[in-house]
Amino acid sequence: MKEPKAAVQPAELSSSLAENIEQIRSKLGNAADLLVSEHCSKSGVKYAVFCIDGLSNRLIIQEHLLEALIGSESDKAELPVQEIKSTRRLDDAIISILSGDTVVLMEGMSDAWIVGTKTWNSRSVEEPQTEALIRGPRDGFTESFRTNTALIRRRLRDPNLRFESFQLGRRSRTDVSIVYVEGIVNDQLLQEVRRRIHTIDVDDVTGSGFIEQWISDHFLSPFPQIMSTERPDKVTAALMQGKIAIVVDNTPFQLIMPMTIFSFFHSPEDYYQNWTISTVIRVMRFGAAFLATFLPAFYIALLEYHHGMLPSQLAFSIAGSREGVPFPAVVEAFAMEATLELLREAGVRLPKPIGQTIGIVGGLVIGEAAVRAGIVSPIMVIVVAITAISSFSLPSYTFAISLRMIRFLIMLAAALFGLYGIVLSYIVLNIHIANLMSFGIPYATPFAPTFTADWKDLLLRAPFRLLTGRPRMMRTKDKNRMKNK
Amino acid sequence: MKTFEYGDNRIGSREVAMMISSIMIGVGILTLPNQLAKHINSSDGWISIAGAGLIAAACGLVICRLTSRFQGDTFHRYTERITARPVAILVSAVYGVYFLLYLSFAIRSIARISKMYLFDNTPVSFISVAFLLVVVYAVFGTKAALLRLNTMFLPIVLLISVIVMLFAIQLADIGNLKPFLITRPTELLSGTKDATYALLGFEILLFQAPLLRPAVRTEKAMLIGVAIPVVLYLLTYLYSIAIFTREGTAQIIYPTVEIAKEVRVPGQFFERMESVFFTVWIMTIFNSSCMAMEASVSCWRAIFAGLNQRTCIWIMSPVSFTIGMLPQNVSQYNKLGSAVSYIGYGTAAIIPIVLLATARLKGGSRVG
Repeated sequence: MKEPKAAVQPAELSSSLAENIEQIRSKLGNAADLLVSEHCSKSGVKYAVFCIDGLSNRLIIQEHLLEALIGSESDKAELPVQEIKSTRRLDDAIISILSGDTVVLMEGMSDAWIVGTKTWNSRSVEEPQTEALIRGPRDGFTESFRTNTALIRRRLRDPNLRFESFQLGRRSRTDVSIVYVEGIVNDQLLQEVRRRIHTIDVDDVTGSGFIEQWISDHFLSPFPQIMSTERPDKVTAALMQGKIAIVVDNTPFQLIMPMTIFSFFHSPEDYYQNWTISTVIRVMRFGAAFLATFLPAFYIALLEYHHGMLPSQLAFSIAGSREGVPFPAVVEAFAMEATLELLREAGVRLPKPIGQTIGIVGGLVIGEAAVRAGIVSPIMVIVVAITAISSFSLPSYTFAISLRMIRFLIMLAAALFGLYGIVLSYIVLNIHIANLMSFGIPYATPFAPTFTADWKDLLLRAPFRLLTGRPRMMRTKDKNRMKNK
Repeated sequence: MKTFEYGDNRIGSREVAMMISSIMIGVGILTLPNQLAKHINSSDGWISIAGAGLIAAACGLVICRLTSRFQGDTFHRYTERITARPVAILVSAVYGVYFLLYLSFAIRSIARISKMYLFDNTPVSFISVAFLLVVVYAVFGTKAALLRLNTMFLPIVLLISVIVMLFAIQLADIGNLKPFLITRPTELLSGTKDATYALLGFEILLFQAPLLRPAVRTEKAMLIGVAIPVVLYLLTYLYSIAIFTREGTAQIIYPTVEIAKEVRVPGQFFERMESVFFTVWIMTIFNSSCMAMEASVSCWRAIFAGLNQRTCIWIMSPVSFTIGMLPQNVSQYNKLGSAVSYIGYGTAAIIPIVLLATARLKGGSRVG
C-alpha cells in the first residue's frame, strides 16, 4: 500500500512556540478563518491554541480547553477532554486543524496535542429522497461521515463490526471507511476491496460516485457493479450477507459491493412485508424491467415488420388510430421516448413545486395535444406511459437509468431487424451480463453460475424460517444465520 | 481494472449437462420430423430417434472416458501423446474445419428460417452478418461466460417448448400415430442416420474438459445432457405426426415451427406463435454456434501456437460467413448440411473411439 503524498511537505514541529505559530500561519496563508490564541497558565507556561472557525465546537474549546490551560498549575496542563492525541509532525497538525480539530502547542515542547472538537452545521437525519418506503425505517444517511457510521453502528451492535478508516485525495483529504463484519466477510474479497481503493491517488475525491467508478471491474459497462444507497438498513443487511460497504464523507450515498444484477431488483421492504406479497412484487419488478427495456422496441417491430403477429382486432384498432400520423412508427417512438427523457430531466432540475407541474403539463397536455394534432398515435402515448411507469417502479435509480439508455439501442435494433433484432439485442445484453464481474463475482450469480441454495431469496422471497443461510455465492466464513440448523 | 478470481471458472456437472444439451439442440430439430417422415411409415420414427440417442450416449461415454483418462489436459496435447505430432495436428485440423462448417451451416440456416418466418425483404447476407457479429462478440468474452450463457438461455428454450407442447395437446390426434411398428428395420436405420445428425455436438466436451472441476462425474452429466434433447426430439416428432399426419409432415419443411403456428394460446395476444417460437429458438442456435466457434478457435490455436485469440476470430468469421453464403439453392444448402453431418460422424464417434482404443493398447500413464 502506498501512502498518498501529503500536499504539505513533511516537517517536524520545532520546540519554539513562536516559530511554530509562524510556520502554521504561513502554511495556511494567514487564513481569515484560522483562530490562533496565545495563553499563559498560572504556572507560567505559554500555550497556543489553533482551530478553524466554523468547523470546531467553540463551546468545548472555551469552557474546557482554555479554562484547563489557563488554570493549570503544573508544568504540563491536564486537558479534561475525551479525544486527544499527540504528534510531532507539522503536516499532521495542520491537517487536523483543517478537519476541525483543535491543536494545542506548548512552549519548549515539540509535541502538539490534537483535541477532537469537530462540529459543524450539518443536515439532520431525514427520510431518504431517492429510496422512500412505505414500511420501514425513515432515517437516511446525511453528508456527515460520523453520523453515517453511527447510523450503521446503531443497527449492528456486533463487536465484530469493523470500520477501517483512512483519508483519500491528496488535497481533499476525504474521510473514507471500509465497513465489514469480521467473521462473516470473505477475506479474499476484503483484500481485493482494500487493494483497489488504495490505488486511488488523485487530488480530489468527489463523493462516492468517484470511488464507485474508479474501483468498478468494468468501467465501460452501463450497468452499476456497486450499489449506492441512502438507507442505513440496506447497508447493514448487506453487511450481514457478507458484503462490504464503503462510507464516504460529504455524501449521503454510501457504497455496497459486490453486487449482482438481481440485487437491483430487491428492496429492503421485501423483508419487512409478508413473504407472499414480497414475492409477487418482486416478480412484478422483473416484468417491469423487461417492459421498460423492450416495450417500445416491440411496438416498433410489430408495427414495422410483423403486423400479422397481432390479433386482427387489435391490429385494426392500432391501424385505425395511426391513420393520419405522418411518421413511421420508428420516428414516432424515438420522438416520444426522447421527449419523455427530457421531461424527466427537466422535472429533476426544476424546483419541487414547479417540477410536479411540469410533469402534468408535459405528460397530459403535450401528449394530448400531440395526439390531437395527429403527430403521434394514442397507442404510442400508452406505450410511452407504460415504459415510464415501469422504469420508475425499479428500486434502484442507477440501474433504472442504465436500462433507459439500453432501451434506445434496442429500439434501434428493432428498427433495423424487427423481432430478430430484438432477440439479437437480448442475446447481446446477456453476453455482456455473462462477462460482467463485480469484485470477481459474476454479475448473473446466483443464476449463472448457479447456486440453487440462494434461489430462495432471488425471484422468490422465501419465508424467514427457510432463509437459514447467508448467500452461498458470497463465500462467507460464517455460513448460517440461524442456530440449530 | 484487473479482477480477482474466485475460482468460479471451473465447471461442475450441471454446467456440463447444460452445455451438451445446448449445443445439441439447434437447427437439426427444426427439420428432423420432416426428414424422418419422408421414409418412415406411421409414427415408427421414435425407434430411430431412440436408437440415435443410444448411439449418441455411447459415443458420449467414450468421450467421457477419454477426458477422464487425461484429466486436466487439452485435447490436442493428449492426442499428440497417444499418437504422434503430425497426427495430432491433422486431428485438430479436422475438428477445426468441422466446427467452422457447423457455424457456417448454422448462420445460413438462421437466415433461411428468419426469412421464411420473420421477414421477406431483408437479404440473407444481412441477417447472417448480424447473427455472426453477435456470435463473435460472445466468443470474444471469457470461456466461463460462454458457458454461463447456456445456463441463461436453455431454460427459456425448454420452457417455451413445454408451453407449445402443452397447448398443442388439444390439436394432437392419437389416431394419426397408428398403426405401430410397420416400418422395415433398414428404413429405421436410415432414419437413425438422420436423427444422429440432429444429435451431433456432444463432442464439445473434448474441448471444455480442462475447465472441469476435478471431482466431476462427467458420465452422469453426459447422459443427462444427451437425454434432454432426445426426449425433446421424441416429443416433437410424435406431436408433429399426431398433428399433421405422416404425409403432412413429409411435406412441411419446418414441422417443429409449424406446430407452434397451429397452437392457439388463450388470451390471443400473439396471433402467430411461430414467430415467437422461432425467435426464442434463435437463442439455442446461438448457443450452438458460439460454442462451435469457440471450439474451432481453440483447435486452430492448438495447431498454430502463436495465434492470438482475437486474430483467430477475425480470420475465422469472414471464412465461415463466405462458406455459409456459398450455397445458391436449397439442394446446395442441404449438401452443406450433409457434409457437416458426415464429418460429424467422424468427429463425434470415430476419432474419439480410435483415440481411446489406442490409448488403451498403449497402456501408458493414466494421468499426465
